[in-house]
Parts: sequence; structure tokens; C-alpha cells
Amino acid sequence: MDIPYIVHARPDTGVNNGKLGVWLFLASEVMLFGALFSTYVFLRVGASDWHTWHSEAGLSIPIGTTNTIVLITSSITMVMAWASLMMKEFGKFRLYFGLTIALALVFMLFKAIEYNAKFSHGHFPGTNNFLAIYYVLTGLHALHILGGIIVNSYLIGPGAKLWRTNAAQFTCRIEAAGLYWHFVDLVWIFLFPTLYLL
Amino acid sequence: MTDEHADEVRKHLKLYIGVFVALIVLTVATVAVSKLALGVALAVSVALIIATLKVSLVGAYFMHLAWEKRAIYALLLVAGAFLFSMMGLLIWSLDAHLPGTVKAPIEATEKHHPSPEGH
Repeated sequence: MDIPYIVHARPDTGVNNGKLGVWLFLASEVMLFGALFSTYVFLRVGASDWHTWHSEAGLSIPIGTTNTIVLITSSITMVMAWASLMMKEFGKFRLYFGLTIALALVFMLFKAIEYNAKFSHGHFPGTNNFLAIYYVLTGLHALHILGGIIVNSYLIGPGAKLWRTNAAQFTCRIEAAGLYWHFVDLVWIFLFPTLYLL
Repeated sequence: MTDEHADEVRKHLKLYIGVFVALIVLTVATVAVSKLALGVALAVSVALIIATLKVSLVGAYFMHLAWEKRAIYALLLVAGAFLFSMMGLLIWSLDAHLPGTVKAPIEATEKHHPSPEGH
């Protein structure tokens, strides 16, 4: 059985089902991260030693800034990958999409270096409330990055065969993957100042 | 995916690069502002304004919300309404049920427990 409206827009919604599905998923993600941001506000407002915990944690602003730039760059390479498919330039798509995955791996590498430094200094989630919410927020975000890497690796690998048989559907898949990826970038844009700078 | 669509995308390429440059500049601005000795309230406000600006750029251009259909806007409106309700409930609960939290830490208010009013 073929799933209807995976490429062409449904007349009533004006968008294809894949795109609507991804946006529904992202709407649920807004609530997930929103709930955790609320938790952050609640813990911070109620804490007696927040600034002490924050300075003791010693988060590296250079690493946080670098990772922000890495994610923003991965967002533009993702847009360029999708745009390349729209312009029927598959070679350029592979380059930009490959760069997006590589930048995601760079982000994870910096995150691993950061976590390793924290653990080696005895800074664990149970140490204090700042570290608890820091690990929950950044850990959940890192899991999203990992999920993106897995799906994108499939799309540039075995999944790319679809380009030869149904280019329009493949382009829709990349657009959906892009929406997810930009959302992950968007969450980090709030996480960075909240956890590192304030 | 017609040639018409391809031409439209080609026209947007410069815009995407412009948004990317703006996002990098705003990231540097966020870090630079955090180095200034602003008060907590002002620092939080400035950081959140810059973050909101960055998120709007990503949403509007990279996620194509500037040219999206009404169904997607409606969906996001519902999600946004629930998000702001949740945040509103949080602020209300801080104000109404934990009156000491804003001025004094929870540890200080805990010393008064249990109180007959349940505060």
C-alpha cells in the first residue's frame, strides 16, 4: 500500500504528509525541551548557591562558543545540501551533506572532551542542581545530535539510492531531515547562553 | 521539483549565506555582551533577546517558516500556546506558592516547614 501525499501537497493542509509529520514531532519536542527549560528556571530561582555551582563547574566558554559555531555551520551546510538537490546537483549534495555529518561529529567530540573534563574533576549529575540540569539538557541534546548523525548517515549511504528511482521523494526526505537538524541547532542556541554565559 | 522551484532556490542562496553570517555575528555578540558587567536581569534579557533573534532567523529562513503554509503555522501556534502556558504556570507557582523563592533561597524557606497554611 502506498502512503499518500509523501511528495505532493495534500489539498487540505497544503503540505505533504512527511513535512506535516516532522513538524508535529518538532511541536512535541518544543514541549519536551520547554519543560526542561522550566525546570532550569525553577531550580535556578530556588537555589542558594547557583553562582558558586556554576563557577565550580568551570564550563569552558571557548568550547561552548566553538560548538555553537560548529552547529550553525552544520545548519548552513544542511540548507545547501537540500538546495543542491532542488537544483538537481547530486554531487554538491553529497559534499554539503557529508560536511553536515562531519560537523555533527566535531560537536560530539567537543562534548566528549567537555564531559570527560567534568568527570575527571568529580563533577557528576548528582554533585549539585546546576550540574544535574546541565547534564540533562546537554545530554538530551547530544542524544538528538546522535540521532541526527545516524539518520543522516543512512540518507547519504544506502538511503541515497532513492535519488535514482524517485528524486522528488528523496528531496522531501532531506528537507524533513533538515527541519529536524535546524531544530537541534535552535535548541542549542538557547542552551549555550543559558548554561555557559548566564 | 520543477525548474521553477530550482530557480526559486537559486535566488535564495545569497539569503542563506547572509543568515549564516548574521548568526555568527550574533553568537560573537552574545559572548561579548556576557563579558560586560551588566546586572543579572539585564544580562539575562539581552542574552534572551539575541537568542530569540537567532532562533527567528533559523526558523524563518533555514526552516522556511517565512514561506510556509497555514497548517504549519497553526500547529506551531498550538505548541507555542502550550509552551507559554507552562512557563506562565511556572512563574505563577513561584509567585503564589513559593513566596520566599525569589527573595530568598528554598533552603531558607524550608526551615519554616511545616506551616499550617501549607506554604
